[in-house]
Amino acid sequence: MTKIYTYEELITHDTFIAWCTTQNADAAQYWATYLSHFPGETAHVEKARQTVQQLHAVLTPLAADEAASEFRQLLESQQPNTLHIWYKRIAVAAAIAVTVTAGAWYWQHTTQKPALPEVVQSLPGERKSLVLADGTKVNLNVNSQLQLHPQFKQGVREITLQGEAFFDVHQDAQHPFIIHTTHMDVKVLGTTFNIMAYQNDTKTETSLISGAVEITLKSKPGNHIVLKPNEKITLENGVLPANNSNSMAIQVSKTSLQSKNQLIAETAWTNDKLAFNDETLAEVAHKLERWYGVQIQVDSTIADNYHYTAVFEKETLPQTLHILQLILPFQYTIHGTEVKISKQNINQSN
Amino acid sequence: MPRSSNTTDSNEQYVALYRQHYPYLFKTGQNAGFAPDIIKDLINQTFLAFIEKHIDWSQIDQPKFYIASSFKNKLTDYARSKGKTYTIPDTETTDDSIEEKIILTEEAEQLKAQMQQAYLALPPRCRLVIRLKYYEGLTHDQIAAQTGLSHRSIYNNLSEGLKAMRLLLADKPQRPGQLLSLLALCIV
Repeated sequence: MTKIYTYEELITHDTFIAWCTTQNADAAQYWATYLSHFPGETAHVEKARQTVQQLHAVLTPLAADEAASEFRQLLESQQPNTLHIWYKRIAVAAAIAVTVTAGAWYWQHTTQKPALPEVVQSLPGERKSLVLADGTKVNLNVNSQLQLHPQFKQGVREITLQGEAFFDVHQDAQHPFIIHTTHMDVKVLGTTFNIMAYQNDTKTETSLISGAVEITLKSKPGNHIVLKPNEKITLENGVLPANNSNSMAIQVSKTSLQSKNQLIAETAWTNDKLAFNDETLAEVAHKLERWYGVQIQVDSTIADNYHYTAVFEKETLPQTLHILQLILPFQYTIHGTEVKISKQNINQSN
Repeated sequence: MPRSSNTTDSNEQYVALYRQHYPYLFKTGQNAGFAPDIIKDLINQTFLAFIEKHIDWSQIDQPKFYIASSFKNKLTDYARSKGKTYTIPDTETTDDSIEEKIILTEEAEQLKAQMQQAYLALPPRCRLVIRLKYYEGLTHDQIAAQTGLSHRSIYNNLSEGLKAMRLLLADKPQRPGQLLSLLALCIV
């Protein structure tokens, strides 16, 4: 034992936390040895220990509240059985039925994770990761909603998406995975891809990272488009961008790989990154609204004239705005969740 | 309908009982070395079994002792079903968790209130990471497996949360030039 821990290292150290909050014998042994090696650290360790215990004390009632409310939901979901249990003199048959149901519950509960609800929602500013019953991994971006087919667990792998999500679909050739959005359906067999289909956006986009997906537009149910890896398909207002008058033409483009750090802009959000690739201030503001859960008003004289390419990782909203401001000048004000972006006042800039 | 409102009432009684006893039951499970999700599951099973058995609580002298021993039986049964033996420490039935016993000074009480307020103001993901780490005692690997968050994201959420709760010093304000150098950024 040669290392002296800093305060920050102590309060984030797993064994240290175990020592402060449980009766874990190994942890107690470790920290007793540490203190016997470095008796000068006693006061320092004691301070960190108090901090962790205090934090634990703050979390205890909150965690109990949360567990109790989950227990309430569990009881409510069991209501038909509890009616029998509480209000009927149980006849033999009913007793058996209840035992069987309770047994089934135990079996289900000890052998699998609790079932996912049929609708999963993320709030503005909140992103969620989940694993569906079939093993498919989904990262749900901010302000999005995923609705599972009622028979999803029985093998009907169909979901409806509003908003944006990144999918890593579990391979199962027998059961195709289908994602419905307002303007397109995406059918897949084991692949990773991103779909952006926010209700109030003008475009719907599917980007494919690996594998293969087949896309059917709601407006042309007879035609299928197959995407290859690193391609994306974009629909404006539910139709393909019509720079080609031939209505069968398909606008498929490469996903925007940002060369500097090999980050694909379409899926950057799954790594907690916010990326812009030659996007107008209006588009940037729209992404910021969802990312930070705010409303942004942009001066129309600059909304479409300013273009940005940038990657942000853990900046706060003011930090992000400040950096965007340095690239191309504008002014902004933040009041609570309302942000106003206006043209730079020339007098002030001098 | 009286029947359903009665059911709701009795549910609420059990939810209250569950809430009251959860902290030290959880701690008992933790001290015996069980994983947090297993502990929670077994606490649920303990209370569901009470409901199923129509326990008449007025006939039970020491409810806390009764609940704690039922829960310990569940722990032992679970361990046996997995082919393991655990020694369940039995120091926990008579006292609440240490935190509940400590009589805090006014100053410490204030600090605790501030900490709680700061915690509740955190974004949901920060709160989750902090709870999993400091209450449930999970390692970063376990948090990653449970939430699907990357290690980077766990670290960021954790330090953001601890800073907001003033348990860690906030970063010194950086000059824009330094900030810029941290970013992959180019002007179009």
